[in-house]
Order: sequence, then structure tokens, then C-alpha cells
Amino acid sequence: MTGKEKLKIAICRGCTCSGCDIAILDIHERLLKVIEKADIVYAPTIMDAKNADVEKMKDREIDVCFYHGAVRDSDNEELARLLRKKSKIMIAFGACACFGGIFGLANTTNRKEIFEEVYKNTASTDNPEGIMPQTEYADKKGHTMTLPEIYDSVYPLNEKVAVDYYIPLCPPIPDQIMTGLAAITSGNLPPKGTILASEKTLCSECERTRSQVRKIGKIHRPHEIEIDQEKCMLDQGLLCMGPATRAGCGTICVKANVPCRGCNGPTSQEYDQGANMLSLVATIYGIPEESLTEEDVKKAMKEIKDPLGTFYRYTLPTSILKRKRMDGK
Amino acid sequence: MKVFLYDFGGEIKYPENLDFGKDVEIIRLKDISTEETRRTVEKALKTDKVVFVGPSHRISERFFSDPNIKFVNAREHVAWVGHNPEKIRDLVQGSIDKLRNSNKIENKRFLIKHKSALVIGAGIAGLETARQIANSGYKVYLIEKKPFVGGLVARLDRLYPAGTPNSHILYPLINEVVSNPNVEVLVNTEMEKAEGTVGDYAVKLKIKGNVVEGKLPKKCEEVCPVEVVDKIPRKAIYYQPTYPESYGIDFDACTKCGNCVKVMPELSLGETERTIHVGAIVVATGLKGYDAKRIVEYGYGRYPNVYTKLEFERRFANGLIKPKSVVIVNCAGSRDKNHLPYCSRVCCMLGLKAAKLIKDTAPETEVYVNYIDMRSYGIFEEFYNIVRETYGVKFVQGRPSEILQDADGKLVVRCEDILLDKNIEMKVDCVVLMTGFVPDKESFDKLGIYTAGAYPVEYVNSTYSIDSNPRGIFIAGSAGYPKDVAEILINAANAPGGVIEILSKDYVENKTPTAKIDSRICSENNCRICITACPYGAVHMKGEEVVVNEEVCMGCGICTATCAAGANQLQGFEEKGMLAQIGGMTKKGDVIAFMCKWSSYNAADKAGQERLTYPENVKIIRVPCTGRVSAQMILKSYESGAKAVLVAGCPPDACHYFTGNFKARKRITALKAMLSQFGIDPETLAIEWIGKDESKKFAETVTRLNGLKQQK
Repeated sequence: MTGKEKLKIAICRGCTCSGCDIAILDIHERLLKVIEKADIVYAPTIMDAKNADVEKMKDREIDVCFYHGAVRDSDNEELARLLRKKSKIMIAFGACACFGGIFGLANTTNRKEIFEEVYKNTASTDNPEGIMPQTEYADKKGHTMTLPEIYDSVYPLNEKVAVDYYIPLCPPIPDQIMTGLAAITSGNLPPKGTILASEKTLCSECERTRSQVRKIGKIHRPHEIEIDQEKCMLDQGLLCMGPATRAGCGTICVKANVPCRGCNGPTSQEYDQGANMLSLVATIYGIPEESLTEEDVKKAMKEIKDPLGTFYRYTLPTSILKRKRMDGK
Repeated sequence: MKVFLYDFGGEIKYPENLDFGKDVEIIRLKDISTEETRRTVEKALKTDKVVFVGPSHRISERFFSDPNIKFVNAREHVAWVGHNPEKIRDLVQGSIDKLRNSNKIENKRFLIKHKSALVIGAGIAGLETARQIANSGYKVYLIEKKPFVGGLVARLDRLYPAGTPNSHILYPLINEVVSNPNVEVLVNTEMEKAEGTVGDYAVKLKIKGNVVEGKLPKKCEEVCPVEVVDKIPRKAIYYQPTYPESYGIDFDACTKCGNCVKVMPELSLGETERTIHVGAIVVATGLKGYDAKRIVEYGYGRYPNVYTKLEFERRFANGLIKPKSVVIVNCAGSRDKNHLPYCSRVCCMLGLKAAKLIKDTAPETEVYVNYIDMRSYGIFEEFYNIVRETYGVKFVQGRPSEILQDADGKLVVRCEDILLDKNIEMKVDCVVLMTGFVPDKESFDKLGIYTAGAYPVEYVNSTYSIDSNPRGIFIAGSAGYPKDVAEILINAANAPGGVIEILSKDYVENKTPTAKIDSRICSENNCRICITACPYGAVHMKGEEVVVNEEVCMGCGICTATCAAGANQLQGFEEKGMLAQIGGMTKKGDVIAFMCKWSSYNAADKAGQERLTYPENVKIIRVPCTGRVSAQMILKSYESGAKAVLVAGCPPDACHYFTGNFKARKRITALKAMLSQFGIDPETLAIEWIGKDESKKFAETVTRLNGLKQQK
């Protein structure tokens, strides 16, 4: 990659909101510098691209593929496999590719339940015959039409193909993208599997002041209180994911007076971001705990509305349990 | 990796064909207790990771103290409860996986560089401590904030119950201490700060003035313009018949006019600094009386004839006051939410002592004692009876509501007499307030001694020094909690004993593996939540970084389970290792029980001793405290196939680490709410308090958890 030839870059989309595409465009004029050194050979969101063109390429012809979005259906998986084959470096780009992201919350349900809801139960649906989407349909003239298969679970990219580097966040911020690109263009790459973000926690970047004794008296949701601009969110009873989240975003949400939601994912020593945050919040909640009765504790913990959604907003598919049990047991 | 199996003479049956892969060697031991066995295991530890399969930790730890050995309890938890030996295979596999994913525990070693001790406070406790250490051959620096040694006892007149004059104890003790060449006494000296660890502390001292011994020109005192009321009136420069034999300057009152220096030019009013190096420190800072002015309704400071206990004793003994009638108010401000919430232990007896002193000196005096409860424990009941019956002191049960002064200067004590069920008024010449005591928190703070309420945390539960790591800082005398003179002298052996034990060694080793903080993840600006979680103040800020004080850390792991970033890891119980162990030992349908090593684990052992039966698929993981059990560990159990998880810890309020079990309860309650979102029945996760004798409760609980699925 150090030769004079331009790098070949692909930007590939899985189950995504396309925010990651926009994030790349957000590097603005710096994009020109990137283009000096690299050709974008495949990027369906910003230019015309056919999968057939990629299929025609030689294996490992693409230098770097940025894959954003989770793997939700057979189409996502097929494309991920194709790009993996054609690329030297595969980067999981954004929280969805890294951890499953917001889409990962669909792991609290399954295909059947989603179809039932969408095609039968919603108020605006009129489907008396109970027709459900099929992956294959043969019409009377003998034509067979196919649709991709939606999976029961949402997967992070590395469950389906080997991933070389990770750039988390929802979406990645320009600085983080440029750092990643600089590493690639210089050929000065860290060991495979590295997450191209800080090792530290978000709190290390946070400028808010923390109280001496860290405790949570009452848990609030952001809309319920007027949030103090200077004080630590947790001290105000807001479930800020900072202590369980990797640094690197520059606390953009917290600076905008919004608690961190954990999109940069866990640190290298965390195995389950949601479980760890739950442990932390429960520990400092209701201190001194000696005087609490069991009922008090139960009542207090009910104040954490939707703990799974709060603590695993971006990382359910990479958590220890990965999803809600399918058998319901 | 080496796995040692010990079968207790055939008591433990091992599965056939044990095989844990190529790199795991299985060695069968013939005897646990021989020197040869010990050497074999120790040798293996040098090059390998070691699993020891045999009896409970309680026994195995007696023979092998290295924390790097992973014990598997195949006797109490398998053989004795009649479980299939195949279970051992899973338990060993879990231990192998844990060790593969754990770092070696470093046995932290502290060199004892300085064979000397600092004793802070030269009251009765400090003097006795210094005496014992110095007589054992070690250098002692005995520092005293005041210009003279002797502390509170030097300012008392008599000691209860017999009314022994303080001189009986104090004078010979002082003489023995100050004449010992191993002792250096520094008066008017305070500790500025202390740095270092056991065996090597650097202590900066601030010394005010100097001591000119053997010269006592009375004129010094006469020229001093500063009048001080220190229980009785004196000057800022004064003499106290203890030590040193010189004039001492009360620098809190001294205006530095220099009149005394004109009389005795050798005197200095300046301040010097000095740094000393010691191997151990004893805090014998004693107590201060509670500020009686804060009990506004009792009029102290407003009415001249309301005295505190020491003021009264000094003045009465010196003949400065001769009241005809006295009310002694016990518990003045004590056991009171607005003042001191605790009982200061000795005030009841001080009240009796004052009553007896008055009656001994002036039998015609009318003496009343107001009390809430008379705490005359042990031998003191007799003292109480004597004062009440022989001396005719009148006891009124009830806390005075207010004290007023009437027109002729007499005091009116208003009070409800609970026994008579009516409000009474007592009109007397003088009132003595038996105020409670407060410790000297300043030196606690400087030395990082963690307090729960007012007193050092070590004294709050009964776990002090059993498993605590070697620490060079000790507490002697009433600094720990209020004690009387006899108790101090008897208990004073505790601190010097600890100091001598340390100083007699070349090094001391950590007993308990401590938590460690990974500075790659946690440094400078950090969440600091583990600081709040630590029950001992061991996790603290050093500059901008969070660090663990290895001397104070007790290895509970509450902080580890609190740290959301995984930066804080308790050695030997690192999250990575725990998750690997859970994954390695759990089979589908198991019940995983996390048992605290202090209580519940012993209950499971007892179940073995009693040959109780409980389901075979119950697998026990020993943890230092339920507070170490993280949500990750519980979720990992379910992920590995567990159908139920039990977290069992000490009975409420009896947690070895104060609140580890309560913290665990909060975590588990929160986790239960989330489990249902994962489609897991929250009832399958239980937290129970299982004390060390509650083997039946343990067996019932795991049996119940095992049966949950069938009931559905």
C-alpha cells in the first residue's frame, strides 16, 4: 500500500440507517485529500454501483472496505462475504457493524413476532388472509421471484466474516475517520482486531464536575429534569453510559447536555457493556444501602425503566447473552 | 498446568480417565500434610499453574498458602454429599480455564527498612505503647501535641472505681518511658504528613518551641501576660508535673510577646521541621470532650456554674469550688441524633466517680445524677450500688429538658422523672455535664484511616486484623473508641504487639490479594465510582489517578464488580478468569451458586459434613464476597447453560466487608428486572443470606432453584 498506486476503497452497507455514509461525507473538504490518495471503487449510497461489478473484481483487489450496518438478512450477509473476499482490509464501521447497534435491539424479539406485528397486528394493517412475506414466490407463469431472508437475530459483522479493524460510534466522527484513514494510507497499521478508538472511558474526556461521594439518589430520564450543564450526569440521576463506554467521541452528546448512550461500545476489558453499567448503577444507587429493605430495593430498581434498552442500546448482539431467549424459557 | 489430586485415603472417588488435554499433568498425592507434598506443590508453582483438588479451601489453605493455587473442593461439595464423581471433572475444567485466563498474583512484599516506630500522642495509651515497643529493643519517637506528656489522665484527679489518684499509674509509667534510651519524646510536636508504606514511612513533624529541661524559674510564669482557663486558670507558659521537667508554652494561647524569653534566654518560640523515618506508626491521639456549648439548652458558657466533667473535677479537687448541691447530667449530648449519636461508654462511670469524689470530700453535699440508662457493665454494678446505697447519691432517670438560672444565681434543672412519671425541678449550686467524647479525626485523615461515623472502621465490625493486609499503622487506646484507663492499659498490648511483630521481621507479605487498577483504561480524569464502593477507603485518589492502597485493601472485590470499564480487577478473581471458570464448569441445566467465603461457602461445607443431599447439578463458585459477583458473571452462567443462579452471602449487617451483601442485593434486584427482558424467569436468580451454620437453608435453597422448571 506504500506504492504509488492509489488505494481502492469500498464503502459497503448492511442493515444501516446510512448515517455512516453521511459521516464519511462529514469529513468535508478533507475528502479531497482522501481522494488524492484513494479511489472509491464501490459506494452504493453516493455513486452508482452494482454488486456484479464487485463480483468481477479479483480477490483482494480492494484495499479497504468500510462496512457499515449490522447483518440482518441474507442479503447483508452475502454482500459482506463478497466484499470480504475482494478486500484486503475489512473495517467494521460504526456501532451497527461493530456491535449490532440500534438494530441489535431487535434481538429482544424474532422474525415471527416482527412479521406478526408488522403484517397483521398494527392498527393500519388490513390483511385478512394473513399473507406473510416469503423468500420465494413462483407466479402462475412459472417465474420465481426471491427476497432476502430476514434473520431471527441481528448480528455484528464479525459474526459472519473476519473483521480486521473496528471504528465504532453512531456514527463515527470525522476525526476518528481521519485517524483511521491516516493509519491506512500511511501503511502504519496497528495489530489486527484493534478498535481504532481510545482505550480509556468516556469519563476521561468529560469536563463535568463530579461529586466527592458518587451516589444516585433518584433516577431521572432526561426529559424529566432540567439538566445542570456543569455537573456529572450520574450525580444528577441520569443514566449516562460514560463509565462503561470507550472514549474517543470527545463527549459530543454530553456537551450537548444529553447523557451518553454508549455508542462507542465497551472498553477492551469489558465483556458486556450493559451488564457492567447495570452493576455500576445498582451499586451506587440508594447509598447508604444498609437502611434499605428488600422492598425498598425492589421499588427503587423499578425506576430504571427498560434496563435492557437503556444499557444495551448499541451492544445487545455482542453482549454475553446476545439476544432474548428464543424458546421463551 | 499441573492438577494435584488428593483422595483422603479413598474418601474422594475421582472419575475414570481424567484427561484435561496434553498440557495438563495430573498428579495423585498420597498425603496432604507431608513436607514432601508441600515441596512438590511449591516446586510446581514455580514453573506452572496449579490446581489442587481435595478438601474444602478451609483445610487446603492451611497447607498451601500461595494464593495462586486454585483449589477444588471435591470432598465437602462432591464426595460427602454423594454426588457423582463426574462432577469433579467439570469443576476441575472450570478451574483450569480460570487459571488459563488469570494473571499470576504477585505476593507483594514490603521491606521493613526502619526498625523504629512513631507513637502519636503521649497520653496513657501512647506512653504504654511506647514503653512496650522500646523495651522490646526498638527505637520509638513519642510525639505529643501539648507541651507535656500525660494526656487526659494527667488532668484527671482520680480514677474509678476505687478513686485511685492518677499519680499511681502515671508517674512510674512516665519515668520508665522517658528514661528508656530507645525513646525520644517530642512535645509541642505535631505530625504534618506521613508518606510511605509499612516498614518505610517518612513522617514530617512540626515542632513548636524547645524544651529547656531542669530549669524552672517561677518568674517565667509571672511575667506571662496571657491568662488561660484550661479547666482551671493558668498562664500561657506553665508547669505540669509530668514530663518534661521544664516550663511549657501553650502555643494556642501564646501571643509571642517574648517576656518569658527575657527571663530565660534559652527558650525559643520558633517553629522547626523535622522528618523522621519509621517502620510503623501508632495513633494514640485519644479523645476530646464534646463541645458542651452546642447543647444550648444546658446553658454551658452562659451560666458560670455549669461545668464539664473535667473542669469540675480539676476545680473541685483544687478546692476552687465548694458547691452545696450538685446535679450530674449523664449522657449530656450523647445518644442524641442532634449531637453524638453514640454512647461514649465511660461517662456513666465518670458520673459515679464525680459523685463519689464529692461525697468523699464533702459528705453533706446533696448530689443528684440524671441518667438515661445506667451502663455499669461488668464489675461496675457494685460501684453503682456503693455510690447509690452507701453514699446516698440520688439517681433520677430522665434527660433534663433545660437548665435555667434563677434570680439568686442558683441553677434550676428541669427534667421528667420517668420512674415517678412527673416533671420535676432541681435547684442546685452547680451542674456537671457528662459530655461524650469525640476522636481526633485530623490524624485519621492524615494517615488515611477510614472512619465509619466517628471512629476507625476497624472497630465497627469484628474482622480487624484477621485477614487484613500488613499495615504499619495501628490504633491504640481511646482513639479507637472510648475506654477507661484500665481498659487502655490492658488493650494497649494490641498495638505494640502488632508493631513489634512487624519490626522484628525483614519483610512482610500481603496476605490477601488486592485489587489493581489498569492505568491503560483508568487514569487521570476518571469516574471514581469505585472509591465510593470501597468499604475501607483503600481505593483513593493519588494526585489525579485512582489507586488501591495495598495495605488497606481487604480483597473483597466490591470495587471490581462496580467498575463498569473493567479497569479495576481483584487479583485472583479477575473478571476474565471468572467468566472462563463459569464457562468451563457449567453444563446445561446446572444451578450455579456463588458463595461468599466467609459465611455461605462454609454452610455448603457443613452440608457435606452432615451428608445432606442436594441436587448433583449444583456447582459452587467460591467468591470473597457477594459484592464481587458482577452482572457479567451471572449472565455468563445463564449463557453457559445454567437454569438457575444463586448468590449467597453473609446475613444482613454481618457482611465481612460491611455492605458487600447489600450491594449484591441491589445489583441482583436490578438484574432480575432485566432478566425477564431476556426471556429468563427472574425467579431463577436468587440472593439469599446463608450464615455459616445454615447448611439446611443452603440445601433447601438450591433444591428449590433446581426444581423451579418442573413446577412450571
